[in-house]
Amino acid sequence: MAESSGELEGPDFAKGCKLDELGDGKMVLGHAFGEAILVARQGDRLFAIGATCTHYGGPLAKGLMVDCTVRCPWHHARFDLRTGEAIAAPALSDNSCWKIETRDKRFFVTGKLDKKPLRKPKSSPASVVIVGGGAAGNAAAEMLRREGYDGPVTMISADEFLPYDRPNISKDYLAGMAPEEWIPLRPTDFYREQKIETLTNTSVTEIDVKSKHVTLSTGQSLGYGALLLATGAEPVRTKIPGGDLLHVCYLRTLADSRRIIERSKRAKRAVVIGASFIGLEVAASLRQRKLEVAIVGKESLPLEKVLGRELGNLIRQTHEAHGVKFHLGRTPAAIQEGHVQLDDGTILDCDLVVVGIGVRPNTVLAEKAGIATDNAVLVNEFLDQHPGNFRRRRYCTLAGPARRSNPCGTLGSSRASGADGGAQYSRRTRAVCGAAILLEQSFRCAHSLRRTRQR
Amino acid sequence: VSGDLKANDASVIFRDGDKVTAVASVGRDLENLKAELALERGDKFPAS
Repeated sequence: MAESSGELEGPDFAKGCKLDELGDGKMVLGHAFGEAILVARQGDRLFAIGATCTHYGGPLAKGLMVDCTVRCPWHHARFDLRTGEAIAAPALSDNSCWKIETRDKRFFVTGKLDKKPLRKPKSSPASVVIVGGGAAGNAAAEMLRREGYDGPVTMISADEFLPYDRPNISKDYLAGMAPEEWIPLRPTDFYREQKIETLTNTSVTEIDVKSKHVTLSTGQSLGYGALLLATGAEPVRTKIPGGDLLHVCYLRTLADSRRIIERSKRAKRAVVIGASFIGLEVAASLRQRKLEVAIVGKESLPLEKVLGRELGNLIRQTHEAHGVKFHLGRTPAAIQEGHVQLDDGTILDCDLVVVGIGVRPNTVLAEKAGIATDNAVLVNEFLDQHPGNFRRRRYCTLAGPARRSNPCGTLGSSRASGADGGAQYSRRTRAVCGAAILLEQSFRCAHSLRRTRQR
Repeated sequence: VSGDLKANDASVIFRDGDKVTAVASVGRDLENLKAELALERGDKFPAS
């Protein structure tokens, strides 16, 4: 192999490398024309794409090659080695793709390949309306355009902001370690350029499947050719006395995160109710902000139900090493100004309370429309559902958080799941998305959704 | 548990009878990717 140069690692592929030094099924990190490049070999075929994951910069050379794809070791995003295309969440953007040639038993990267032309769907609906502006809704809108759908796409979001990196708002952003510019999934111009109409601060109040219209909170009615439900979930609210006091916060939206940040600036002590993912992430973030933090959880160990005793112990120990105090096997009895009282009478002084006791899927709209639900939209193994009252339409769902739909994937980044101390103690986040989709049977643009389903 | 959790170098394998249902890893990113693939394909997880 050629020698590395400058800050770029590995050989200079433009100068050429020995072919026999790259075995079948192997990948090698190098560079050419000033960019880090990954070269992979499958039989006699060679591939060259950008070496860095477009999601959070993970090192693809340390990932896994599977057929003609590479999976990022950090959050398991996937890229097509033939084209550089991002083919699985959480990466949204394609990677660069490079021309590679062989001569005299050596291979050379000779230049960047142009972007491939847009695909053209065989059939498509007159328009697509997406209900929800989270990761799933955003990914669907983007994939529609990537797959060549050129009809009207409207994304309706109750959130005041355009789609953002939701996992980050409980981690680095909340901890004060992520700048604002990290948070939007795409700049505002992106949606304009892609001709994706975005309606923020707007919710859908009703779906009329017969006339194919949705009613908006503004009172307007909007017709659709196909409808995607990507309504996500909302936090479960505590019903204990004092749960509605001003210093009691929840965390679901960017606005929620900002509210906690503002309150944390005036606070010295926080009580976090809930010892699962959100509670632990919030606790870690608030410790970064130098608050005293106590976690109240009914479990005997954090995340024990999800991860088991061994990891639960590790998580507890790691958080304790960072100054978090646990009150496990306990539930809060009441919240008052200045303290939380537990069921055993313990008083925890605090000036900020964050409740993270789970989420509930937003299925009300689906139920009102006659879609079968059971704490989620019911689907078959293809994520489809055919409700009795309108059989010709297709329902799919991303089956809740995509990362969580595959237990292995969920836990794939231990840093993300908190196993090495919570995401705030490192620098990684994970992406989640949840959605249900309603499509015309003839509409085959749900490419990304089918891929996501495989996770 | 395969490895040393305290050293942040371990995989925790979750089973339902003989079947591996999930794998959580600490400090073993590549092994976790391989576990993900094995679970997708119904293959046996190497460390199981």
